[in-house]
Parts: sequence; structure tokens; C-alpha cells
Amino acid sequence: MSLLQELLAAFSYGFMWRALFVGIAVAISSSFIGPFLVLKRFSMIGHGLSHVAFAGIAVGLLFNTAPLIFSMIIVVAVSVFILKLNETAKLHGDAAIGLTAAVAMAFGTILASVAGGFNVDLFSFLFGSILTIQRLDVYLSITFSIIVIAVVTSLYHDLFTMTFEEDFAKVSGINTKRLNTVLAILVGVTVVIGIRAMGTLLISSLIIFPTIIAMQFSRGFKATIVIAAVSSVFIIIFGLMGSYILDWPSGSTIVLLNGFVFLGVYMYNRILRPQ
Amino acid sequence: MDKQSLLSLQDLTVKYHSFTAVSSVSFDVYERDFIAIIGANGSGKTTLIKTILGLLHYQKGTIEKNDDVTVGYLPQHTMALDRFFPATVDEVVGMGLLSTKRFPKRLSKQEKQNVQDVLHMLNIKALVHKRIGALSGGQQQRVLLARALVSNPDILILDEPTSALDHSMRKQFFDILKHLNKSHGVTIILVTHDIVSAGDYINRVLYLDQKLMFDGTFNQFCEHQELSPFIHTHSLRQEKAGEQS
Ligand SMILES: Nc1ncnc2c1ncn2[C@@H]1O[C@H](COP(=O)(O)OP(=O)(O)OP(=O)(O)O)[C@@H](O)[C@H]1O
Ligand SMILES: [Mg+2]
Repeated sequence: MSLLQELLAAFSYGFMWRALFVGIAVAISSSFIGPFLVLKRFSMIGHGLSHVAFAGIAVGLLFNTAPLIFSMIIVVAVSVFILKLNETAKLHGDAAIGLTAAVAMAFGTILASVAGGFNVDLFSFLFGSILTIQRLDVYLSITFSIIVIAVVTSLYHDLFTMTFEEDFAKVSGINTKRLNTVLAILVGVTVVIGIRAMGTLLISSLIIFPTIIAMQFSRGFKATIVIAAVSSVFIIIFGLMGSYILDWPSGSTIVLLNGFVFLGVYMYNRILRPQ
Repeated sequence: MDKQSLLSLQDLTVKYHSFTAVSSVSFDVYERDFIAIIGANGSGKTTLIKTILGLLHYQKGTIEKNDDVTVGYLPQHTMALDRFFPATVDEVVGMGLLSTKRFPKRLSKQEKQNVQDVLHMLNIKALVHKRIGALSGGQQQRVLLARALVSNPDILILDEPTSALDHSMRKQFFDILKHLNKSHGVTIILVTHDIVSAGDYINRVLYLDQKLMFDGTFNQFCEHQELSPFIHTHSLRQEKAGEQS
């Protein structure tokens, strides 16, 4: 069977479409929050939260309840908690994230080993598996990414101002505390909706990569978000198809592809483009 | 002439934990004042204006400001800007207007014209599509001044705005401030180490050393040599004498 035929065949299955819908939804929403986190030097929060999501999923699987919804509640709560820890305890963001991630991971793995039995399922949650994406996941991801995109769009100027300079935002009357909390919630939501396609261990790269790829080209902030979203959507579509053809975990394939694209634009910028 | 007080500080004390950075400071800021706040490194200048701006809590005293008095702010250390931050000059200046507006954030024709006027006055019209990190220090400072100006503030607070500027730029910058002060009636509070250059422009000097050590005109300040071991009042006097002759 030729490559093209194989791909066409893939799209005759429902799961490939579901994977695409979920992938595009999470690609856009993570690109919408990525620039704010990366430029606030807070991009590792996605990484920390994904560990928490892992613990949440372990708990969900243990009780046989919808693991993603369960996980989302916990992750959003912890995201806000990390933010408060960062604000009040004078803990640096990365330290707060590191601590939380380790504790959550420890908790999740102990749960998994005590309960046993769901190891196979857990692997697909770790690295992403398009075969496991259910119809419910599609609805959830699309709904939540529309929410993320709508909130970022309507708060765009305040978020931009705060990211550029928190003090100036405060002087201008922007409630930065509340805005940071909103951002923390959006990150939590995005991390969880990305888990099916990307896996808990790899979702954070979807927040970081598109932003730094876009920053190689863009001069403005709005342009950064747009370029990040467009490139991320393309990368995810090709990544998902590649993952199907090669039978690789989808999250890993997408991360590798992101890495190659970043390397490509970086080299192009440094070496080929006339200054 | 009866000037109106825009801002009134009474017995203001600001601490970082147990360390007192500003102690019992009282003064009024009047309409059309052009004030220089001076003092050695660590004397509490930035702390004082950040407190006025509502960025820091204070432990004692009062700050009275009429709610419809608007404030523009140019922070210290603009050089600490992330060089790779993706924001165009356009976007940064727009921040000054849009951040005070409610949703949906749209600029009126009048406001767009005002932005153009400010860009023109500061001579940065040609830079609007550039990335802010790609500009020189002096250009960045003018962009941030533009951001503070586009909303037409009643009071402009600047924390060492001229530190990144060369001599001629510095003079240009002060001339712009003077123009704003005289022609547009903007009240200006300027933190500076460069009292020599600022001397010709200001009408008041506040000398801070945790406490407010001096509040008066520049001429009066020059008479008080004992006040400022860190400023070369001697050379200052000479310079003034040179100007008068
Ligand atoms: N965040 C902080 N936490 C603790 N102490 C601080 C903090 N910021 C400033 N200080 C202390 O408060 C004092 C006043 O600092 P401030 O920044 O107001 O000085 P400044 O007059 O603006 O100095 P400079 O001319 O260097 O800008 C200094 O002794 C400084 O060490
Ligand atoms: Mg200072």
C-alpha cells in the first residue's frame, strides 16, 4: 500500500478524525497562552501541571470515573495554588513548580503501583495515543479550547500589558492578581485537553515550541500568537499522520516534529537569511 | 497665585519588612510643578514614587490624590527590557491608551491623532513597526515616554529617564519635558542623578535621604552645600556662576 493510500485509509476510521479535531483544538489554545507564559518566564508551569494531571488521571482511573474531567479540576486548582505560592511565599516560580511536580508524580506513581492493573492505559496517557481518543474527548477539547481562545482574545490587551511590564499594568489600573489567576486557570485547562493527543509528559512542549518558533520571525506580539497558532496546527496535523503511519506515540512524534521545525527556522535565521 | 494641590503626602513611611526605606515624608505636589527628586543610591527615591503610584504598601501616613487626576509613569531600568520580547513600538505605545480602557478596546479618531502627535513630538514615527528590543537605549526610553504620554496624564512620573541618554539627547529630552510642562500644563515629577542638567528646567528640588532633607527651589538648594555630599555643589555653583556671567 502506498503512503497516500495508507493515509486515506486512516481517514476512513473515526479515530483519525477525532485525533485531528482534538489536535487542532489543543494546538490553537496552547499557542494562545504560550507567548504569555514563555515571556513571563513561566513556561515550565505546563510541565509541572502535566505531572499533576498524571496524578489526577491515576486517581480517576482508580475510581473508574472520567479521568480527564477529574484531572482538570485538580490541575486547575493546583495551577492557581502554584501561582499563589509564587506570589506569597516568595518562592521562585520554577522552585514552586519543581516541588509540586515531584510531589504529584510521586503520588501518582504510588497510586498506580498500589492499585496495579492499569499500566497499559497509563502509558497512553503518558505519551499520547490517538487510538484512545473518544467522542467525549472531542467535545471536551473543542468546547474548552473555544473558551480559552475567547478569554485570551477578550483580555488580550491587559494580558499583553501585564506580560510586558507588570508594574505598568498595575499603574494603569489592571487587576494583575486576578489576571494572573485567570491565566493560571487557562493553563490548567489547556494542559488537560492536550493530554489525549500529547500525553502528560509532552504537553508542555506544545506551549513552548510554537511560541519560540514564532519568535524567530515575528516582531510584534499579536503576530507571534498568530504565527504560533498556524504553525502549531500544521505541525500537529503532520505529526498525527506521521504517528499513524509509523506507529509511533502521537505526542512523541509531534514533539520531534516541533523540534525539527524549530531547528530549521533557527538555522535559516542564523545562517541563510541575509541580515 | 493660588495653585491647586494635585497630590498630598503626609508623614509617609514605607518599610521593606523591618527596613525603613522612606521615613515620615510630607510634601504637596501642585499643578504645573516640575519637581526633581534627588538623593544618593538607595536613598528611597524609587520606593517613594512606587508608593505614590500604588505599587507598594506603606506603613504610616497618608497619600491623598484626587481620583480624576491621572498619572503617567516611566519606570527605572527600562534597559532591563528583554531584548527578544516580541512587541513592536506601535504595540508598546498603544499599551498606554488601551490598558486604561474597558472592553472593547477601540481608539477614537481623536486618540489616534494624539498618538500620532506624541510620536511626532518624540521623533519616533519612523520606528513604529520595529521590535522594541531592536532599538537603542535612548530610542527605547523615548518609546516608553510616548507610552506614558498618549493618555494625556495630569502628572508624569519619571524614574531616572535620562540615564541611558547621551548629552545632546538628554538636553532634547529635558526640552520635551519643559514643553509638556509649559505648553500642556503637565505636572512632572522627575527622579534624577543629573541635577546639573535638570537645574535649568525644574521649579522645585526634593532631596531625599530616607527622610525628606530639603524641599525648595534649585537656587535655594545650591546655597545648602552641607546637604549634598554626593553632589558636587561646588562645581554646581561654578556652573551656575558661569551661566550668569
Ligand atoms: N524590594 C526590596 N526589598 C527590600 N529592600 C529594598 C527593596 N527595594 C529597595 N530596597 C531598599 O530600600 C532602599 C531604597 O531603595 P530605592 O530603590 O528606593 O533607592 P533609590 O533611591 O531609588 O536608589 P537608586 O538611585 O539606586 O535608584 C535601599 O536601601 C534598598 O536596598
Ligand atoms: Mg531608583
